Amino acid sequence: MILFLRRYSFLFFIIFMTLSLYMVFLYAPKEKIMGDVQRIFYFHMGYVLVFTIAFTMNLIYSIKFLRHNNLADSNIAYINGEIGTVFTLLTLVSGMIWAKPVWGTWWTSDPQLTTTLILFILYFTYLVFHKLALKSGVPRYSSIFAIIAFIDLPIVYISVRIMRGISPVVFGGEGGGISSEMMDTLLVTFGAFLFLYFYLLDLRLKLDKI
Amino acid sequence: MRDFFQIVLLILKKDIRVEIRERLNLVYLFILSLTLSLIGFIFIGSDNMPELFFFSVLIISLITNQRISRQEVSLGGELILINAPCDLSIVCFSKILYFILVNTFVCITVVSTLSIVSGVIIFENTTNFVLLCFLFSIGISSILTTFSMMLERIKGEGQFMFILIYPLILPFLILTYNSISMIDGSIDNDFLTSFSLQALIAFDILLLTICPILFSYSIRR
Repeated sequence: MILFLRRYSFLFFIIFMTLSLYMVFLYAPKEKIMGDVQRIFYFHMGYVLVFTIAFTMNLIYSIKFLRHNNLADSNIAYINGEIGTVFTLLTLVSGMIWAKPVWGTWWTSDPQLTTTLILFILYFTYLVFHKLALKSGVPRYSSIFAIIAFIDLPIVYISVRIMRGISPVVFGGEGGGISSEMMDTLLVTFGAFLFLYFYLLDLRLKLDKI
Repeated sequence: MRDFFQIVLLILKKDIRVEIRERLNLVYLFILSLTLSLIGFIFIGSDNMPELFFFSVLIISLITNQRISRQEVSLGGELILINAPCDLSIVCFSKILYFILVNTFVCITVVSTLSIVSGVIIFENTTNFVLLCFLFSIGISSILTTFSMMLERIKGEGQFMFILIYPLILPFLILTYNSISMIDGSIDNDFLTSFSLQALIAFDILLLTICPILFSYSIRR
C-alpha cells in the first residue's frame, strides 16, 4: 500500500491539487466576516496535516530505531523531521499572512501560535542534534530527543481548545464549525497534501540513495 | 517493589554523600542563587517577582545539572552506574529524585533572597506555591537527567551542545508561567482545576514514565 502510494503519489497529488485549487477559489463560498483571505485556511490546514503525519512518523521510526538499531529507521525518522519542520514553518507563515488582515497584527501571543513556534524550534533543533549525534556515532540520542519533542504535539492541539486564545476552532467545539462546501474543499485539500507528503518522502529517500 | 526503593535510596544516599564530601557544588549553587536572584531583582524590580523566581531557578538548574553530570562522568560514577546490577531506569529514577532535592535547595535559597531584598512575600498561598515548585522541578529534573549524561558523552562536539536541549523545556515553561498567575487566586480550586496545572501534571507523569526508559537506551553502550 505504502509502496503504491509512494509510486503514484505525484500523479495523485497533481489530480487532487488541481481539484483543490478549483474548489478553494471557485466552489467554496466566501466567508462572511473574513472575506477572501479566509481561503488561505485550506492550505494552512493542509500544512498542519503534513507536519502532524511527518512528526508522527518521526516518532514511530525513532522508537523503531531504538528497538531494532537499524540505521535506515533513524534516517527515515530524520527525513520525516525535515518534512515536518518545513511544513511547520509554512504553517506559521501562512498563519501570519492570515492573521494580518483578520487580527490586524502579524503575530500575537496566542497559545496556539506560541506552541506551534515551539514545535518548529524543537524539530529544527532535532535536525541539528541528529547531525551531531550521527557524527559522534550515537544516532540513538537523536531518537530520544525526537520522542520527548513529540510530547509537545498534543499540547498544540489541546491549547487552542482549552487555553485562552483567539485562534478559531475548526472542527466541532463551541462557536466553531464550517459549512458543508467548505468541509468538502478542506477534505480534497487534505487529500492533495497527503499525496504531497508521500511524494516528498519518496523524493527525499531517492535523494538519500544517490 | 521493596528492592526498587532500596536501590533508589542507595543511589540517592551515594549522591548526597559525594555532594557533602565535595561541598563545592553546594557553595557554587548558593553563590549562583544569590547572584542571579539579585541581578534579576535589580533589572526587573519587584513587579514580576513570581516570574523572576522561576526564571532564576530555571537558569540555576540548567547550570547545576550540567555541572553535576560532568562531575559524575569525571569521577567515574557513570561507569559504575552502567555496570550496576540493576535496571538502568532505576538509576535514572534516583537521579531524578536527587535533582529534585538539589532544586529544592535552589528554590529555598532564591525565594529567601528575593523575599529579603524586596521586602515582600512572593506568594501568599504557600501550598500552591510549593506544589507548583515541585511539579516544575519534576519536569526539569526528568528532562535534564535524561540528556545531561548523554551530552557529557558527546561533548567532543563542543561545550555548546547543551544548548540544544533547552527548547525541550519551553512547553513546560509556558505551562508553569500560565499557572503562576493563578497561584494567589482567591479560590484554591481555580488553581487546582486550571488547564495549565493539569497539563503540567500530565506532562510530569509522562516524562517520569518515558525518561527512565529513554535513559537506559542512552546510557547503554
